[in-house]
Amino acid sequence: MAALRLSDDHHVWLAHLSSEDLVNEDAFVQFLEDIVQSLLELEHKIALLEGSEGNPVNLLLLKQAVAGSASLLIEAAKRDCAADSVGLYLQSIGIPERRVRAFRGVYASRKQGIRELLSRISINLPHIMDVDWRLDWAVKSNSLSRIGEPNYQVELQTLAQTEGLKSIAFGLSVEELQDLVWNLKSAIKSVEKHCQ
Amino acid sequence: MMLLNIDATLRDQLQVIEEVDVDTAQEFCQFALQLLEKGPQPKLLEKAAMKLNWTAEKLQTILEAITELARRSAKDNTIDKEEVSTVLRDAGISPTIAEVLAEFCSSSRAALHGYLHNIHCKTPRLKRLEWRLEVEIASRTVQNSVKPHLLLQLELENSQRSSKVHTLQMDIPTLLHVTEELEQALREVKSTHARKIMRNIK
Repeated sequence: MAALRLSDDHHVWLAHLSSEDLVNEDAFVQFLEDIVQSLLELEHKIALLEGSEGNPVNLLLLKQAVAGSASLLIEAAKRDCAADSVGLYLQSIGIPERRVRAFRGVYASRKQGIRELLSRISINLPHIMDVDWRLDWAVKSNSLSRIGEPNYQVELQTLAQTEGLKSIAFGLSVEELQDLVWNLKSAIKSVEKHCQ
Repeated sequence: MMLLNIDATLRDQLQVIEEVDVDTAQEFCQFALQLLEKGPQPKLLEKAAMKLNWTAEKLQTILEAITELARRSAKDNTIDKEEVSTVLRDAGISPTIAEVLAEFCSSSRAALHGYLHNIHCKTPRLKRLEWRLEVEIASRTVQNSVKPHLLLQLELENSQRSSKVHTLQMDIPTLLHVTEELEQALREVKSTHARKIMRNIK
């Protein structure tokens, strides 16, 4: 796997994590947790950024620290890096040992969540989310005085990145539904075979 | 009581067939069925009308009348060839032409039934299904991933016979859930309730 590497800017920004003036020791873990949470939830606010009043220089440095940390977390999660490599990386830019340990801890516990978020940002076909069905007994119609045939209506609920929730509805005879189920079951069998 | 009803308009239209011989009448029947299956074919109609020295409209009206007769006779299974022939003769159609038309109604019954069946349902039908099992192993945003999913391609056809292809994907837990739901749907058609309804409402 290629070595973990960030741009020079991010490098400099990450180095702000060493500063006791910006983030004190007690608030450090919460600060990192807030950063992760703000990646996962758009509305989540980072307490330190919200509460920071007065010194605009400090606010700028804090924002840079957030950007640097977020980049490291995302890049490491993207590459599926172990917590150790993240620790080594932070050590190499001179972050104190206690803070490196805290960062490693947060990364290790939240890595999976970040990866799940990242895997959703991709080229995605509409996903099938659920299915609805209805069974009708067709009795007669304007053109046929007697039909006497069961008929299924199936509606697939889909979710697409750009189009949101949609549904696709179609009709099936009993035989056609049997065929569809048979197809899905053979797909399940293939999954089971390959998981062993 | 006769189930087949031929009104004055249809009778008048059908009587025009008397102008041609039996072979041509049979050709008309085949042409009518062809139009029903393939939709309007103005060029072919024009050519056939020219051969007869007729206008295309006149031929079109006759073909529509034949189709209408076949549709009415296919509506109910109890209408047989004999009845069609009798009703036509009663309406003043000559026995030979009546025989040709009755024969056509009975031979095209299966094709018409399939056609009429599709008319009444507006929702598209599932025409073709293709699937492929895939495992996503990397993307621009995530490397070293193992994400199995099922890729599905559904071709749906509506009552106007135009089809649309949908390409979808579904993760494995959803696949299990959807399959389970549809199996339940299949079991339902064999349930006591369903059997009772199917036996009693006809």
